[in-house]
Amino acid sequence: MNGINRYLYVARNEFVAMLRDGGVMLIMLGAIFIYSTLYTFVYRNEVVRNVPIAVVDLDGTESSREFIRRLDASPNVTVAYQTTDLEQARQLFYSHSVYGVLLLPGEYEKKISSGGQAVVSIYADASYFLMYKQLFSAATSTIGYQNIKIESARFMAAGMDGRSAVALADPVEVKVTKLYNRVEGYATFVMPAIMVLILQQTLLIGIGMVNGTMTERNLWRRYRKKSRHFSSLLVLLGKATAYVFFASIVCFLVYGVYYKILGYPVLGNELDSILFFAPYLLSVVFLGIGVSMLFRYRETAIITLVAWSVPFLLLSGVSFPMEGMPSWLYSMGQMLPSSSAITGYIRLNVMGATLDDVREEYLWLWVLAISYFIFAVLMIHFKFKMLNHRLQAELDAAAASPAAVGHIGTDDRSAFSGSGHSDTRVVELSGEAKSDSDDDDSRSVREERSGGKRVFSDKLRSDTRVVELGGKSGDDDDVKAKDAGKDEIFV
Amino acid sequence: MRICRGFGFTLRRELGKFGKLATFAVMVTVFPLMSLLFLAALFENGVPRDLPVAVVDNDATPLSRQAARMIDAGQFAKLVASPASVDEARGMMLEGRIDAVVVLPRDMERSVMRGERVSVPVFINGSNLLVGSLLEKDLSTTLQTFSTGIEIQKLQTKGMTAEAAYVAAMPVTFDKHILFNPYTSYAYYIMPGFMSMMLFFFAILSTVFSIGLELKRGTAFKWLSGAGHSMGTALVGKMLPYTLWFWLLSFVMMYLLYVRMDMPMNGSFAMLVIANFLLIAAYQWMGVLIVTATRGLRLALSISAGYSVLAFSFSGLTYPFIGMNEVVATLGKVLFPFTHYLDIFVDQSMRGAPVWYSLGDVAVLCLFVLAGMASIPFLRVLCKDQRQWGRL
Repeated sequence: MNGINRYLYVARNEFVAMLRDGGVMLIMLGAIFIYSTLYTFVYRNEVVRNVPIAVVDLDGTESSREFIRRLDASPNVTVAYQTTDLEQARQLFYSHSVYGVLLLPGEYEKKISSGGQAVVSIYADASYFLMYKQLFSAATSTIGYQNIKIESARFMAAGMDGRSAVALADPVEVKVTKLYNRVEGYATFVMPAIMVLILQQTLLIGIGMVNGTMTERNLWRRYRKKSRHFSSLLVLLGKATAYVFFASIVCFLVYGVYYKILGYPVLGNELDSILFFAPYLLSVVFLGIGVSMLFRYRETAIITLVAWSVPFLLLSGVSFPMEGMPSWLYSMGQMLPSSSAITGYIRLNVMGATLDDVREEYLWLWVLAISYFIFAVLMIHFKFKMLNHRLQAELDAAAASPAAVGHIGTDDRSAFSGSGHSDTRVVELSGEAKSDSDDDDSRSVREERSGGKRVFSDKLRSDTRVVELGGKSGDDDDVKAKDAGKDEIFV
Repeated sequence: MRICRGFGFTLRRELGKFGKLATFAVMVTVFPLMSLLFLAALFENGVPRDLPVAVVDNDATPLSRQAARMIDAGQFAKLVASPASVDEARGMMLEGRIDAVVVLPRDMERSVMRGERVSVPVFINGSNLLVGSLLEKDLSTTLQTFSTGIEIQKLQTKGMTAEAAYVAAMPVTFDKHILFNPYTSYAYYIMPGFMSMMLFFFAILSTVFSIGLELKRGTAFKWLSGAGHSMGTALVGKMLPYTLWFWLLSFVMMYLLYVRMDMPMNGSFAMLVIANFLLIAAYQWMGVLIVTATRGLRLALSISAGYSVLAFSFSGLTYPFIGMNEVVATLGKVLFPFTHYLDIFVDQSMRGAPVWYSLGDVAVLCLFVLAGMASIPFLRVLCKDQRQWGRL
């Protein structure tokens, strides 16, 4: 086999292993669609309008009623209750019937018409930020409007013309425009960030599962044969090709199709987005491969990576901006591909920036891609080194004393005989518990061959077939011979 | 007596196994602690200050410079650039260097002197809701103050005293009573949610992993028989160490919130301690339910992970229920224990509501535990049926 064939062999193996594994598919392909659908469902209304509030009107005059009408007309709040009793408003508040209270003082009308000052009390609840914001902005804009109106009426009464009266009442008019998310939609705010993060997390977990499964089932040895040597670099390239190819398809489906169906903003140039995603996918894939070399079991990736999704999202500065976090934490967060990818992606597609505008993030992602490439090569290299040791020790043990190996097996069996069920499985447990022991590999191999028929489900058997599929090209025979020999030793 | 022996056996077995699975041990012990400390560090500052703002000063007069100074002195804004044009400012925003632009118009000072009204456009990057709303509040307050200042000066030149001018410039003013979370700290609002989420996240994952592994490796029968063939005893013996550990961590969480971050505690502390326990127990038992329903380790882990992540969005904390579709809001209340836990937390810790007020939510959390317990007989069948083992 020449280099290109070996590379294709690894890539094909990896791709088939991924596609045939329902669990991996659910995470790498299904999860992003499931999550984006559910999140969209939750945030579909985008904005919270008409937050119910109570108004305590201690004045009860035409002026106070006008104030209340004006407040109620604001799209952000609705005056759900009007009362003259603050205690009653308090009760409504505690029972979650209203989310804020506004109190108009007695003599409101008298004060404003006599040139005095009326103080309106706002009781707001900052335990739910979005609702606090709605009440507060509605109240302040109503008060601002009333001020201009009252003042200019006074100035006009003193003989000014309408325009100068307003100009004196409010010399500087502030006109706020919210760019890029005019309606302040919640989904428009969080979804682009969440989707970029989900892409990273599902890739990391999926890759971790594929490689964890390989380790758990001892499938790495197919790259460690005397007749066919695979270098770490070659294995990395083969694996990465399979994952990047698959991730690109997912990206196309998600961003090219589904994202648009859900109606999220895609303002950026498509070519820019593709160019931007290239280093992102590469760095995630290399990081995933590198980290997955540490995983010994199929599930390790899920239990170690899933819970970090929320901290990872926070580190990107989306929910809580970077200006608010300690700088050391922010810098640490930059080690994650998602951090730069999220800020860059939002600017590209929500704000309509060009690739040149996000060059800092873009270049940094390439730095990460290259760094994680080196990291992944090293991790595979060490993995192979350990595997070599193990294979050597296994051969030595087999050569030295077949009886001794057999003895270990019997020992395990008697120790767990209490279960009465499926001794092969129990042996596997003990093997995994001290899986650094040299004969761990040989034991699991035996499981696959002897125990498979009884204990392992059909699914595993089909998986095993998949793995052997790639090996048909020729020199699998020596492995079979070796394994057969082992069967003689053990059984 | 038999139950006690079975319980003791399971407990010893679980702790023994725990030590041998290094990754799992790290996942249960180090990760939750790390995530709590991480969140405490992240939100240390409470609110983001010094959000970058640019002023395009087309006037360049003492008055416009005063406006710029006031903007820089605002609570959240920090003046970082003075681009020559709006276009340049727009470019800076797209590069992520500024989050808002205030455009001070040409002839601003002269117009003000002449008694004409000037208009000051403010452009805020709305792609981040928190940053956008903080800046909107800050910049409008600052410019409003600036405007009122001009008015007061003008009224004084018309012969009013400073005090009279001040009153005349603001016929209606307001005083703000922020009842709960009086410091309007973003951290106080969001941190308890994230921290408790981390706790139940690891609680449900550890439960699912620990039970699922018994099924995957075919040791489930041994586990069950060791516990005297009582599934309930087997489950409690298995889960109790984790329940207690995560409960202990909830005290760490409260230490971080109330001592380190000085968050006010207005209600019943005992109630919170109970709620923490119930949150952990509810998620553990939901984990039992998920393992039983899926019968496989990997799928159960995927589902429980999704179930945990979604809990946050469905809780109504960041995006409130009243903004949701009714079906979604109902699902949020029916499916997720976290929603009810947060209710207790907000009511007790922030609002200082009477204790009886939270009893309903406590009862709902107990219902989740009971719902999980309903899966005991089914899990028992699974543990005995060796065809179910080794599923992936």
